Amino acid sequence: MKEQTEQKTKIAAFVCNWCSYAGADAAGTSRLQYDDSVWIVRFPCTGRIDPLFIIKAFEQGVDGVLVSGCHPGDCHYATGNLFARRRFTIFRTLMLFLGLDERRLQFSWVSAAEGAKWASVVNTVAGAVKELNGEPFTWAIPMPLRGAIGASDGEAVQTLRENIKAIEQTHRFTFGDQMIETREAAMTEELRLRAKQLLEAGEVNAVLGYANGTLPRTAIPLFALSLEATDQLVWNRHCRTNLAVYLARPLVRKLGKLAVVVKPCDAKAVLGLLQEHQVQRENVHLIGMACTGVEERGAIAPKCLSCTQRMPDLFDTKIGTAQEQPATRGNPIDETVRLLDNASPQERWNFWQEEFSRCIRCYACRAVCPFCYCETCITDKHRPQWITPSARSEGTMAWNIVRAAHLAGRCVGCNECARVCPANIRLDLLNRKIALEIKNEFDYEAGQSVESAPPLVAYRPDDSQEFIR
Amino acid sequence: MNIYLIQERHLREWLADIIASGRRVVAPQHGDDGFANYRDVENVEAMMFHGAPKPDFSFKRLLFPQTEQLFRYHWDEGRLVVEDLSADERASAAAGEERDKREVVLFGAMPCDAASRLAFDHVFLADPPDPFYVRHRRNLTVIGLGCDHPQPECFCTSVGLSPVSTKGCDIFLTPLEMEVCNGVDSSPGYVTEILTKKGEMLLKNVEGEWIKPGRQEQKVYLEKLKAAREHKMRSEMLPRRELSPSPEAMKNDFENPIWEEIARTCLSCGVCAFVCPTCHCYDLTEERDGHIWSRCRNWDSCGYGYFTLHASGHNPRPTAMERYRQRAMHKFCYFLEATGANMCVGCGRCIKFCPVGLDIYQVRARWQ
Amino acid sequence: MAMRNPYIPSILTVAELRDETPDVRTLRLRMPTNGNSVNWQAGQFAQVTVFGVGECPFTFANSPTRKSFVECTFKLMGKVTSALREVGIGESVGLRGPYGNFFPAEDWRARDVLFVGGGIGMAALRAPLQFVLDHRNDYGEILILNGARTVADIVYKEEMKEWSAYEGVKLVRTVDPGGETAEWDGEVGLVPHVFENIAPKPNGSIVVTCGPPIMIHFMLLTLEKLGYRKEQVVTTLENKMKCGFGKCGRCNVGSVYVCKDGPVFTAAQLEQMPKEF
Repeated sequence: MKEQTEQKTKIAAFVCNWCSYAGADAAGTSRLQYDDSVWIVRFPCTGRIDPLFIIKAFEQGVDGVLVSGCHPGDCHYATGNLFARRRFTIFRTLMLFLGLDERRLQFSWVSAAEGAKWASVVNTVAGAVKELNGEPFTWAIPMPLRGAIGASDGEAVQTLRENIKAIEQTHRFTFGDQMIETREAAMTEELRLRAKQLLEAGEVNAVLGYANGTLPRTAIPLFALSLEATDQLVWNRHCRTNLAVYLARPLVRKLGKLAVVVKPCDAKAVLGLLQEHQVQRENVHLIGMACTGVEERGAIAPKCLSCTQRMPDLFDTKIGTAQEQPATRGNPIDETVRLLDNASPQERWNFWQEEFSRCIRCYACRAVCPFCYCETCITDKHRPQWITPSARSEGTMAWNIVRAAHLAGRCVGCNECARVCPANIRLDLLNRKIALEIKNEFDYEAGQSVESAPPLVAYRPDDSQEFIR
Repeated sequence: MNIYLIQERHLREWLADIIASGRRVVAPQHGDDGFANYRDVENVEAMMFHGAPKPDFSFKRLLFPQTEQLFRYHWDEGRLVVEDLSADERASAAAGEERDKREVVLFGAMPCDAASRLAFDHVFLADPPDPFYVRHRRNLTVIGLGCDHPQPECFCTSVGLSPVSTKGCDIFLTPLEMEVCNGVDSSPGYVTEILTKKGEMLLKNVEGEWIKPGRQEQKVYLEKLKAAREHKMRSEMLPRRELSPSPEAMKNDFENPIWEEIARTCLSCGVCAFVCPTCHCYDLTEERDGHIWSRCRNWDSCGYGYFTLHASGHNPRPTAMERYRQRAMHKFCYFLEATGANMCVGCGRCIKFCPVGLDIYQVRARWQ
Repeated sequence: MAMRNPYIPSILTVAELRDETPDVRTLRLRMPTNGNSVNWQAGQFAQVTVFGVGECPFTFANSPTRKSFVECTFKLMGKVTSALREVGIGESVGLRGPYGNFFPAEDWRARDVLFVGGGIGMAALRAPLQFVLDHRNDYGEILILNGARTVADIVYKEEMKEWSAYEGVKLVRTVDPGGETAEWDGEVGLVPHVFENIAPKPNGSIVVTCGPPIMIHFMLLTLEKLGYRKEQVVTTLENKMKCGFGKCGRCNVGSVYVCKDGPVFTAAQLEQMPKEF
């Protein structure tokens, strides 16, 4: 017999126990031949398949992943696969946006009776993955990119970067309005007055707002616990921090009822926290600010350019009057998302590897996110260790993917994660891409209503499933 | 101490020679992403000298990489085989940092960043000396450059340093004003102080007329120049007082509820520690690559909740308050007690990058 | 010159294992075969590696007077201890150390020594206790007060009989109220209360105590009430540690590094430290 060599192509097939595993079994008992590059991993239900499993498989060096479960309506647990379908719709979008070739991540419904379908799906998937053989695919971020020192900017995505820069340049607007300082001063006065009233009347124990930072053109969070402290409160275009992030923190909860200064985007985050039962409405008094946008790096923040909302949806007190909406000054974030969408998968993959290569794993993105309130984050769990703690590429890939995936349908686009990233990773683009997909697929926007179910803990029987074989 | 006068164009030639000899030259440069960092220099002609930007990150990863494999092991037919990675350069090779195997000449180190080496020496050379640090240190030569662009966050003068401090440098350059160079050369000149044997070695092989040996009057001139420079820089910095050398007042206020007020806005991320030139706390983790395991050292931050979390669930520093207090006190009390120096070089990066603008200088200055 | 890599553990094999309670086990480790035997003092600790899992600090549970092997008693707690329970006889673990300071047992000569331990805290007392018993004539009266939550949680049950067989050794065992069984012939009550009832005279004696933080807290109050000076009371601190030699920066309590300056502290020293442990 010929000597066996190690198999070159490896495909992980994550299948549900009840349908696809039985389907694979049926294929076997019917003696159907199918491609032997598939390694089957059995799960109770596709609903149990966390995107992390798929990430882990790629980390371990598989060339492709096939996820397969029961047809809609056939789930052993009634609806597990319907939830899974939504999750995979989003996860797949995210992975393709990162530049993963769509042939490497595939989905199918195979029932217990469909042995022949199983064989055919596997053959098709394996064939597609094998087509890719020889194409450079490294899940791991190439070494020379890693680390801020010695990081050379990749030439592969030079053009892409130049185009992104061009978008930034054309959307660089400064606050030209001469009136802005007068308005800010007036709103500051109004805010201080209101804060005093709230404290004096005993309606709240503290007012969470902004004070001037110690660096020029900065404002920092301030907890005003006393009447005197309210005199430090300010309102201006440097009030960037999304204060909703504090609402679920232990040191803050201790304070009891709190008044919080919110911009329209911050209010959306509060709304999301109410929706997810992290905050009780009666424990917060929302001071809604008439907002004309914040400043980042000396210009109007990109997120504010396309925002037309001048007052929060949700408030108990309103400060200032909504200003006339300026003509929209474009949407640089969406434009950049489109730019990446139109780039080749390989270009996108290179781009994101470069972006992630700068990650120093400080988790500032997590710390500033109002929705990252988990008591123990997945990165801090070590039994098992899903995400490698070192700044090695696998862990860094996994972290950045999982962060975005966990915020799917929840992120309200405050872009704090991208603002605070010391390595300037464009996390906002990942969040935005997912938000656009969710709007498109499930007609849902985060931060709009307390009652509606977040899209990834819901399903519709007729959710689109074009990507599933 | 030897002092030379070197023209910029000669410095460029010299650096090009260093690169040609197979060593790395790292210097503060803008990247294509538009952000300043200590980066590998490939083209000496194009690199910025005077007025190079303040890097977003310090160069500490040259001495203390964010991730470093300490040893590896695997099972060979049931027998455990342990491979020491400190003995040679394999550790860097294993981590893929091919270039780390080479000697590194750090050109244009900010005086604040250079001074941070002293803190690292204190920790990593103490018994038992850390062989990885020793190796990185041996491979690194630091050429400091007088700082001429203090940023709003800077407070080096408050912690006993200055924009012309030579601490931690092997060679230190002070740019001369153009007019001084007139008649000598058309390119700007640098007064070059050789501070260590290593610095001397680096310059030793450089021959030619362009190095003018130091004379007494030049020394005097240099002192004057540096003093004037320091004065100018100080005047350009945001008004921040010098911090008293005694940490007692702060230390005695360990139980003061003020810490809760200070840390209430802290979000417990790791930015401050990761961008800090002196923060050196680390975690040891087990990692696997195929059938080979390794023990890795990773940067860690006292800001994280799990930093001190016991397996039992008990946590001596359960909230941001205890953790921020630890950070401040480690820098300004505990380390000072042990070494006589603050574990802070006043670079202000933690202020600049803090998502909520916590200002460690202001915190420390409360106990002035 | 080659510099030693302080992170590399010696490899020891498990010679014996004994389950003290359902979740506490004692391992007896055979010295490394490569000749580098481990030398330690009672009170010091080591970093134990479960290969493929990680590393965790453990106090040496046996006295250097019984040094043909290393013993370590651990409670099933986190990632490493769970994996350590899976390590069987003949299998390898890594060990580096010893680290930290130790009990000044030499200075206790001629004095009465009172060992007060709660739960797994007994593991830290076993080494100095063995040391004292092995130099029985050098010391005065010995009291062993051992507390556990329930009868099932008592560690070193068999050894305790041996210890109490020495002359001049008094053994008092107690379980928390509700933790007793019908057959239980020991005390019922919290350790500090039982100690207060016994109320040994503080005349120059040494109290070595270790246990859960809450027990230590009340024990120190009781000792103060009974007139013990803080210098007479010795305990050990346990903090999360990674390196074991004062570099990784997480075990400090104020400016004291538990791994280097500790883990053994007198109550007088503890009083000087910030309350952050």
